Amino acid sequence: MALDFQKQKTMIWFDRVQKTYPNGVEAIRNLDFRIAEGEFVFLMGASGAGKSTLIKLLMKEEEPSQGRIFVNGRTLSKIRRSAIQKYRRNIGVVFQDFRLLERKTVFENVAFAMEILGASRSEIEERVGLVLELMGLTAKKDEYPTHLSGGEQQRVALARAIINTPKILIADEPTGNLDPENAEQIMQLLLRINERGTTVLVATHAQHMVQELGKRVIYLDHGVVGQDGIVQSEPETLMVSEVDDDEE
Amino acid sequence: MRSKLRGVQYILKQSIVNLARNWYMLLASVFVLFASLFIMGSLGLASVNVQHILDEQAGRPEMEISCFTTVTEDAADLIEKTILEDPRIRTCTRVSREENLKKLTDWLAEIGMSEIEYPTEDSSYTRVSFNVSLKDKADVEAFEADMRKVSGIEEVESNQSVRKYFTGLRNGVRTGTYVSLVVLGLLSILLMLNTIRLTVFARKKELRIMKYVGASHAYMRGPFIVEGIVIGLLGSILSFLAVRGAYTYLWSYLAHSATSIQDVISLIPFEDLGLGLFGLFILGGVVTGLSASMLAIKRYIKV
Repeated sequence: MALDFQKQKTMIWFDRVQKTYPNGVEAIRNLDFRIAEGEFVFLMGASGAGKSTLIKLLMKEEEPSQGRIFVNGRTLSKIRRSAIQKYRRNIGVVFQDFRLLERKTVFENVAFAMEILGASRSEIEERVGLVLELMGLTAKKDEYPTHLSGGEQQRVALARAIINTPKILIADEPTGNLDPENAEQIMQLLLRINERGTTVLVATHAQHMVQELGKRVIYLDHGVVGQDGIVQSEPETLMVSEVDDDEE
Repeated sequence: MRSKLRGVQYILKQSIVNLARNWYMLLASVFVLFASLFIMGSLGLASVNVQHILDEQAGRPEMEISCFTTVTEDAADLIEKTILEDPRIRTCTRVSREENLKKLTDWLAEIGMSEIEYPTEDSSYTRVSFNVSLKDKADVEAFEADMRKVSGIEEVESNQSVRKYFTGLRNGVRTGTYVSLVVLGLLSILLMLNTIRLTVFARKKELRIMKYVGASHAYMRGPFIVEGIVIGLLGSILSFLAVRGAYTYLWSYLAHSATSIQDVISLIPFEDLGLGLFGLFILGGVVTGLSASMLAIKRYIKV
């Protein structure tokens, strides 16, 4: 299962990144890791470990205090302010609280992500139809989010996140508000999205799920990479086998 | 190209939705802008008209000495001789009965009252007058008093006090215009800023999603810019119509008032000001609306 970064293209690279907020809080300290293209990675750590800051840095909502971040071959600090939105089109995001628009139907919620990028009506009809089918939501396309279960709402959010075929999908606690059955469904969908070539980064506390899937885990501890590898044994102690990260 | 057109359609649609959702704040903003522009416009018009009155006064003789209608041409010659012999005189021009009759009929035509039946063929109806200017303005009052004593002279009118009054008025109105421009302009911007802030908050979730999906700045900011422009246009058009109504009413009221008032206060016909004034109102409204939009975007939309 070890990754060979010399053979695979690096999609995300945090190169000795530090982030200290203006109030003096040091959220991330010397963070250094790579994620290969098409990889599925869990991001774990206690509250305040730096997961949210890491996601904000990836979304270019925050700038690192030190170090560099590379995404798909681009140095984030070199992206001009006017080009940030274009950069974000490469990344899909889902959140624990779904963030759906209550006044829009399932179809409209997903279509919205295409509308605001100037897609035509026919393109929207076609692609939204396909993605809703992938998410098992075709029958619910005219429903409003308030009439859906938590699992269904998260699937709508997933559909919206992938509708513009991003290269990276970030899921921030995607199963945090779901029962085990729905959480399992969402994880399976994330795996399917990953199988289609999208790099997936999932921030989660769901250790049992992480163990079941046997994917790479980056464990953050007080802003640094505590452990990085594949989960191999007990949920209480995260035993990992190191990834092969030789590339400079 | 089609994508851009869809973008414009989206922005316009969202602007209408925003305004409809916060219609009460829209009304408040339009009303404040309307009131501000109405006050500023009225003061501006007053300023222009006072200046017009001053210009007219400047074009008039310093003093107009009118004889009784009963004064014969020979008696008028004697009066003219008396005036010319006065050492304080710089110039003196005699205006005949015929010339004064023509002035009267021309003026009646100008204010749209030419249908009034005046004995336009009979110049004896009018009088001989003299337009006089003095070497030293300090002599005006004394000279005026001396002329009133001359037999055959009915009226002596000096425009010095009128000019002094209108100069003071013009300065006051100008100051008022500038102050209102700043105070009311800021007030309008603040209220509009609040309206747009409410729509930003109402669409906070949507904007967050747009940000994460990578919507362009134009998509995110466009609706709020259009919103500011729409409020600006509505406020300026309504206030222009109100100012026009009030001004036309005043103009027609003055045109039908006593000749003595008309002689001093003559307003510029609205048609001569209308187009330029309309442009200024629209410009004022749009600039105020855009300023409020840009401020709201800068303060409340973080990309």
